[in-house]
Amino acid sequence: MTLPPDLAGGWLVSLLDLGTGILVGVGAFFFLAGTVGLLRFPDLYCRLHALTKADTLGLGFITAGLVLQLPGWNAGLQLLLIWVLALSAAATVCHLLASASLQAGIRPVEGADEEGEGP
Amino acid sequence: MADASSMHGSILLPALLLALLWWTLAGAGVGDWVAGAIAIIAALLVHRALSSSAPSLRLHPLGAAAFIPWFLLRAFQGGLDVAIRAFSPGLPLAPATLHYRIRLPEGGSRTLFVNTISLLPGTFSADLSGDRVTVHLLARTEEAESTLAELEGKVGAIFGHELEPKEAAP
Amino acid sequence: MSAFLTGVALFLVLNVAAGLLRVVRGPTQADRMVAAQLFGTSGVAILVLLAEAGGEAALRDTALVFAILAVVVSVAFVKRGWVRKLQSAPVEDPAEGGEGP
Repeated sequence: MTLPPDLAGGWLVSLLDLGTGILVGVGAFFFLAGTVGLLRFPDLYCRLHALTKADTLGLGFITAGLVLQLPGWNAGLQLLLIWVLALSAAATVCHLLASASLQAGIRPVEGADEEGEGP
Repeated sequence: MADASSMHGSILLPALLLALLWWTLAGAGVGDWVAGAIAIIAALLVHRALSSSAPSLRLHPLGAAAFIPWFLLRAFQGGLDVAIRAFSPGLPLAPATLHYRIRLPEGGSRTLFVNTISLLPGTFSADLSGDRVTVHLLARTEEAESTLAELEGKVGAIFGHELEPKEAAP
Repeated sequence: MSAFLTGVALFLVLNVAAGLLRVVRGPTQADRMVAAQLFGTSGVAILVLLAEAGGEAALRDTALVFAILAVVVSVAFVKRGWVRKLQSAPVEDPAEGGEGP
């Protein structure tokens, strides 16, 4: 990535930029994994696993990467708050959708799929 | 602060937390703090009204401090586990459900436990009835049950609950 | 740096677009709701990225509201749409995902 001249200051700035680049990139990877899981996993319940875990982790990496760019504690705490809210939102939504679907009679797929690693 | 059962103890900590929250959301301008003081007092009044009917939560700082890094590591493993399975050509899944009897008492600790199950590797809480939680597993593993028991113990430590040892499979 | 962050935000938009395929395929309303959840989390990530890339701090406040509203959407779905619809007409295909064995 190319830095504009006003940002390409000391080594600390480039080190922080490198950290942001890596963390945000890893976060984007987990978002991709979540979508791949959403499209490939065999039933509703497995898809819920994919989204709840991968996307929440992706958002965690992206916010962690952005914290390195922020000028003050204030905005950093705001990003932390956003992530904690997203965490609890993901867990709550996952539980709500799963229990409503179970009660509605949608049965989860059981057992090994193709070459699963089950017993 | 946890043992100060006086009025100060019950008001000071929430007030400080609300002030921190306000600062996070609105910044530290002088004009902002005028509105902030009003918002904080209003929130404290609501807090008093609501908490008089609910048992007060005693958090144990050591338990909470031990929980956070453990949880972050587990959440990372959980995301990685999903990513590996999603990208594997053979789609290695062996979905299963299991029932787990909760030992934590009703209240905040149980809520936190049921919610964090969903962020551990390969598990989420799919249903809750009485003290039995239905857990969906992305792949059936031997250690799923013991991982849940470990999580339950960690959550219990935050709230200062001692759990009876888990008996053999019901 | 801001070009990189904007690029990642664009990648997440494409990611959401791919997730739309799940909305099309279903097969149940709950599957579509899971996809909608993807839009929620991705939306939060896109907003915080753009907030940093464009130096627009207000977008972070928007992301915060998104994160809160994500729960409300699903609660509304579970409480009204889904359960009530099934009680009146239990016609959804059970379990079989489009591609399951």
